Amino acid sequence: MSGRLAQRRAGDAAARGRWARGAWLGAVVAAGTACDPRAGEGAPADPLGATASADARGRFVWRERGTGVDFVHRMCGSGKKLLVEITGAGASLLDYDGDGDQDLLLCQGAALPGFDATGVDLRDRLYRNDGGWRFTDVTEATGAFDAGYTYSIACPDVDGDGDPDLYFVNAGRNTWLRNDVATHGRFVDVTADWGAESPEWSASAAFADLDLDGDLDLYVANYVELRLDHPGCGKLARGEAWRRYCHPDEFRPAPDRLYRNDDGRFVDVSERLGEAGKGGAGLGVVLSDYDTDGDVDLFVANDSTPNFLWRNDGGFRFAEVAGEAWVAVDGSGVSTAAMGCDFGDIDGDGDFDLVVANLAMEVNTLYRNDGEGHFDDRSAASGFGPPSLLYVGFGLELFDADLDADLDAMVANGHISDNIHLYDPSQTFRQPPLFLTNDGSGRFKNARPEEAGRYFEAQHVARALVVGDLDGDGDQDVVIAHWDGAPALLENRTIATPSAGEAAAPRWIALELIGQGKNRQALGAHVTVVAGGKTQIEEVRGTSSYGAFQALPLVFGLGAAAQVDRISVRWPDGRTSDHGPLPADARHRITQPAP
Amino acid sequence: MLDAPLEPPREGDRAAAGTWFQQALAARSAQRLHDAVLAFARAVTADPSHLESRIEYGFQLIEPTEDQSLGVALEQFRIARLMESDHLHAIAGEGIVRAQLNDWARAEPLLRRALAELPPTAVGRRALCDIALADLLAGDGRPEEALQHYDAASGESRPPTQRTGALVRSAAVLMQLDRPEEAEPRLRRALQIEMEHVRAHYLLAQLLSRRAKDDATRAEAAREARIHELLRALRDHLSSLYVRDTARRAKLWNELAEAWPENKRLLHSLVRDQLDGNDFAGARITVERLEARDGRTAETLWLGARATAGSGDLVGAKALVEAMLKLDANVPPQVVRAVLEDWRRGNSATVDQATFERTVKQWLGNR
Repeated sequence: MSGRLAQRRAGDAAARGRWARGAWLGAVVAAGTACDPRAGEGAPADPLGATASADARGRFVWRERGTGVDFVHRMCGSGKKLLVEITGAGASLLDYDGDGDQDLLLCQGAALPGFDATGVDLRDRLYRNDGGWRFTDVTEATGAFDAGYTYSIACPDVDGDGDPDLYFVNAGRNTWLRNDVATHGRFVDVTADWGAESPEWSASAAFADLDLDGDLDLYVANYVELRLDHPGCGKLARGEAWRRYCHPDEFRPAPDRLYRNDDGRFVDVSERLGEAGKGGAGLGVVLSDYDTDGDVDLFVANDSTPNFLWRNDGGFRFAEVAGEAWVAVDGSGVSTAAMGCDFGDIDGDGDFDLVVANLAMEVNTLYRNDGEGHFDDRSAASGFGPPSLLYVGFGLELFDADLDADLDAMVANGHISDNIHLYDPSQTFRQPPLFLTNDGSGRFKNARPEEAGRYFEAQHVARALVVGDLDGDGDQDVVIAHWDGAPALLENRTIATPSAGEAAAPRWIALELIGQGKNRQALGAHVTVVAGGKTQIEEVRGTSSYGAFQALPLVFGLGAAAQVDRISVRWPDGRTSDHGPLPADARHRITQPAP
Repeated sequence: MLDAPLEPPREGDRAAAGTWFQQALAARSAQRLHDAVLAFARAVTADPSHLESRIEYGFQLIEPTEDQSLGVALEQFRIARLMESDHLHAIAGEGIVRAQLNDWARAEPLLRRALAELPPTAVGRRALCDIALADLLAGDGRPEEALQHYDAASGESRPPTQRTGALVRSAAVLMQLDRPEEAEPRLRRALQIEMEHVRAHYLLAQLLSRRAKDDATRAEAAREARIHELLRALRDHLSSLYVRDTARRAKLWNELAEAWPENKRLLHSLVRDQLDGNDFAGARITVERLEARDGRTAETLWLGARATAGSGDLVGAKALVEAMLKLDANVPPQVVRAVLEDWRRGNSATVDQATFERTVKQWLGNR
């Protein structure tokens, strides 16, 4: 660690309140766990101090000012309404400097034909988390940006040196920045060496050890052909005001790409996907071992074409089984305009269910996993789908927002037609997000905006949604990237302000997994947590939702349980380890046992 | 925005509104739904206080077409109720839209009142209300109540579209209740009414594959899945990029005809698709296949005439039209006119408006 980082961390400690106590670790025990037993002690310091402009009503407090995050996403259009300018705005959380907190990386557009970029900063931006909801722009200092029209940035530790590298997923050539911050203070462009440039319009990328050889391979979800010369769409005969962004069906889907990591260089093996990989307009991708056979499978959310479910058959062979698993289309039998996607054990039955965010006048889809590799659409019966009817959902994450030991859901909404009111007055361009709470059985209730917080009472054009504990207090905060605007930082106040009727804050545990070999982030690991008589499962996924990346730590809500009785980890290479009991309200590091 | 205050509408040109209203109804019965929407819109523009136009315009906008607009539909029903607060069709319409917009608290009493007070003869509107209420109840975790309303909407006297919709929706609810033995006959009934119902094929494939314990069931499940996949592929891509790709669509139709030989209408659909995509040469070949299979009928002659006219052979087309009229003298004039419209569309470089109108007159005279 550089002297500058150490100095900053020491200087921040006093200002951090609960973060300074709750995070971080004692000795790291190989093949075991480590924790800070002081975590969770005492009343949390209220971080809503002088810098807060937030209204503290509701579970999530919108920190609009005073955070130092001054980024504004630019769509970079000039009135032509090119499809590429309407769907972007990505966000990632990563610990780029290894100081234990979540830093923030935001994706920026690039000048499109006719756009006057004079004086406009079109760099992606990296913000260092200084604690206490203060962030510092370190983009210039670290060089963490590229020149492309960036849709998302995946942050895998590809070289296995203990820090996350950056893979810029662009409309056009993708690029790599290797993290040399610890040694040289900067990120370094290594695209020529590492490859995986995928020149198409890419939207999302997922990393996992797909062939179980110890390093991270790559799947890139590509969208449609990138055409900047399209004459435009809409009822143009009625006038220019009716010009709208084209439906993706106006363009040929761009083929997805599969890369195998061969000693640090990504080799294009897309032919392994066959013809199936060429027919989808991919926007979101998420990994999961949905069939619990021990290897990582991939789900790709395709926009208005059938989704993909790539079942990993071992030996770098994949079968596209979305049709037979009943997730290619929704329960009405037609393709949806799928965007965000996530896996999670929604009903607590020990397998991973799937959720997908769709266009307005469709509903978001909840596919229940029957435990035998098949799904069925429970969107209506679960209460998950109906609230979304009028909204265009992009970012979608399952996480235990209220720490009551089940998965809730949040959806970032915003239409893709800025004049949709002309076509249908029941719809709006700016839209409120959705926060859906789970009753534990897999049935969702749409939280009232005043319960969720002021951000949920307002309307936005939102895209990526990423979840992580930004203030280190144990509950999970949210960053939502806005199209052509500033992102929203939402502080989760579950720990700080227990709900009415709750005597004390719910308990939690955070787990940071350290894998052996090149996959140090343990992407693809499967974790089982048993606490208070309840079993929860989760995976380390990295990429999920839409345009978003956040890998570690995994956070589990424990309700009232004061300890976790047992933790089982199935590591990406198939080996397992058991741990516990472990105290609640702490962050634990679990290191994979050496073979 | 949806519930913004509204003013009672002013009176306008009632006669003009009446004319547009009649045109809209005619377009609707001819399944020219976009034309119906335009005509209803003109009627309410001509006379904003034309109550029937408001209500029918609202119902037209609920239909799942490119013109669907729940917001504009709701506005029509709200204005209609400003004019006549107890108008049961307006109450029904508002209830249906509010249910679709997830405004359940307001939808449920409206729908229940409409169902209580609409006359039994209003079978179509009653079926729509039953389906909307059933959807609402199913989403609210009350499946048994939902099934009662789906059953009411699927009765023999209900319009076919509503019957199939209710049967398929109730089957979906039953499958989620793990009652496939009740779901299956509903899906099969729905497919008897509407052979190409995409969702019915999908759910039947899903249901059969789940209980596939023998080869015959497995084979039927696979066939249903294949039929669904091809029907979906044909309906998913409706942008000009794909509609123009007649080769792709013809391939899909032919695969469907192969997978589903009992459905004798598929080749007809292929011809219509080829005509819509200006593939007149392809359409002529398909018509020949049809005639080889089924012999000459008035319909094959008509399709052949359209393909021939689109290819530029007006003389040949006229001979086919005359043969058609010999088989069925009651063919309405707009069917003959469609042949000439294909001729104009396929030969736009040489057939101007005046030539077209002159030819229409020559062919149809005063019909």
